Amino acid sequence: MNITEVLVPAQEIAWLPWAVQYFFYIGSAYAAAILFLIALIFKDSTSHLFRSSLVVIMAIGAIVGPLALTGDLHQPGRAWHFYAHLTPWSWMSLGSLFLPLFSGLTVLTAWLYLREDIAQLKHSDNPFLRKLALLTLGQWQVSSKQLLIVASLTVLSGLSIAVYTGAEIAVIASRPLWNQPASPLLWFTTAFIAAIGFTLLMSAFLPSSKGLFTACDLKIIKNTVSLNGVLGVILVSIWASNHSHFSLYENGDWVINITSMTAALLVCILLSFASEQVLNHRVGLALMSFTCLVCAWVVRWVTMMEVQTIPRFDAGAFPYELPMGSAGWLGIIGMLGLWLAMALFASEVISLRKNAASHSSLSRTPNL
Amino acid sequence: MDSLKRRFFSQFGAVTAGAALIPVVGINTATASTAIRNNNQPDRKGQVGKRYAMAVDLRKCVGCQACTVGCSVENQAPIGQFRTTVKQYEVALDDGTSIKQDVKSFMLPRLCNHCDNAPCIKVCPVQATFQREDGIVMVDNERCVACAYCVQACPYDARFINQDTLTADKCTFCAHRLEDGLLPACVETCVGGARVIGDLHDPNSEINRLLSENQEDIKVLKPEENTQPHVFYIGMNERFISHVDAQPAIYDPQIDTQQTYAPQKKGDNL
Repeated sequence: MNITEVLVPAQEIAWLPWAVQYFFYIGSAYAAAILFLIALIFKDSTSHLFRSSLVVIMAIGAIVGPLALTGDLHQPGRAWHFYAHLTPWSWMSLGSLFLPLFSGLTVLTAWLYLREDIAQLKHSDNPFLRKLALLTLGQWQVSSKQLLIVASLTVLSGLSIAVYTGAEIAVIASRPLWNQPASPLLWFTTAFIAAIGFTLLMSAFLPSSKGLFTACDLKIIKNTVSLNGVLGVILVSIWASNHSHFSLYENGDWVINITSMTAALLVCILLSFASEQVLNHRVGLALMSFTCLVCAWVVRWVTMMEVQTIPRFDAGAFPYELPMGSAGWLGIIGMLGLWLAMALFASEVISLRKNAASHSSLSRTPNL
Repeated sequence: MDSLKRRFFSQFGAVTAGAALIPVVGINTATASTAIRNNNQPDRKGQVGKRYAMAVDLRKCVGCQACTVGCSVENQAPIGQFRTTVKQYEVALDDGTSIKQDVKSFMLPRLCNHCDNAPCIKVCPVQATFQREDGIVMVDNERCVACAYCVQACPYDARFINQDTLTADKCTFCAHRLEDGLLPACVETCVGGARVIGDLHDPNSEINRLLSENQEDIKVLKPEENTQPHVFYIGMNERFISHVDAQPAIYDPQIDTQQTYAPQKKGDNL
């Protein structure tokens, strides 16, 4: 029996590119929270540059991500309905509780860690930046232990985000590619690649000095990328073979999609074996950063947007073209612009500390 | 998580004290199913005592799309978005010989299945979508945040984000008409009498008669999803139950404009 579709209306994409952006930024934030805690534990061997880059991209990701998320609501003005009608059996509703907590904790952690740097702003030539020094809210100090506790709480909160974002999509039984353990695991592992990409980008904004990263920093960066890259490659192949009625490997477009994800991950792995000189050089650093970000982005784009073009009942893939407007390119570029603006602003705080006089304005323990 | 939750609630239900908590979390205890209905508010009950369902007799459907038009006129769905439509397929029988067989058409009217275990209701983060006691699944579009979670969860592509209201939209069995004693627009306009709506709890209803007369030949879409759909098809070929293994239609409007009314590549089938 040969069946040909004659009249089948295409199903529209229901989750817009905003969802990809949310997963991209919030993923980089929770992964950065974990990496920051590791870097903080080994603070004797990691650099302040690496730690502050991590803590800043964590906070920025946790601010930009939720903004992108409200864009995915077609009724962003009704976001307060989440709190007026709490629904504990819906993962999305649970997320509306977890998310503000996480964003709050990341900002708190970043503020506590960077208070020392903020205090240095009072030596700035710029009167506006001098006023910002007041943001330390006093001269009190935070002990390393207290900071570790707050950073650990942020990690726990970050894990709640990883669990809820993964489960939220993985429970959707109507889409076999989402409804499998490989999809949340894939987002979790590639979140670390996004975090490294953003950390390297952030460190590029900071003033140049010889040997940006310590050996330990580089070890964390390389091991994170290579480990998660390898896990990613394995997970992509598992993920792609778990569709009951649509063989991804027999569809030309999907072969391209899977190849792009795998290739991006492989390039990341390859670059993670680059020598330390390469990574401490601006060009190498930019290349690594760009590859990591593109990789994490492509994985999310394919696994979230392209999956929506696979029909649940009908035969062919539904058409989708990325629009120019706010639900498309404009939104993507706008969110990246917001991220960059916040990163540039934050870099002012960190860079001043590096150039500032050796005396500390806050504490007797200058290196937190 | 769902099975965990189900186990949690079933164990909870065994404890009598637990029964008092169940309405708090929005579980309807009237049915054996642990399906979430979100219908505790009095204005979400509908016609208590009834269970609306639809039978579609495919032997009578000619694919005229009168139901599609009737629904669009009645419910004012935006152009290009449909609460119900009739999907049409060309079927060429192939008995293994080289003789070309006659080409047949297959019509498949599609609408919300008003499932008893509706996946769209349990995912809604603000309980905007609910199932009335009479089985009709509705959306409170003043509460809906339009996160499109329900659109993703529905295995039947029955939901969409309405381009005009910017909220989730779907077939309501024309609940507003049923309450006034009228038939849904699609049933009213069906020229072949293929669509029959009725109350499953009424032993004398037309739908019960039709379903019992054809009980050997009744199918629902995607039974494996365990959604317990309440749109029953009579005369349905099994190849159309879960997933259609077909040559895809050409969706791309750009291709359509470039090759307006030109035969498809596999045109000799047409």
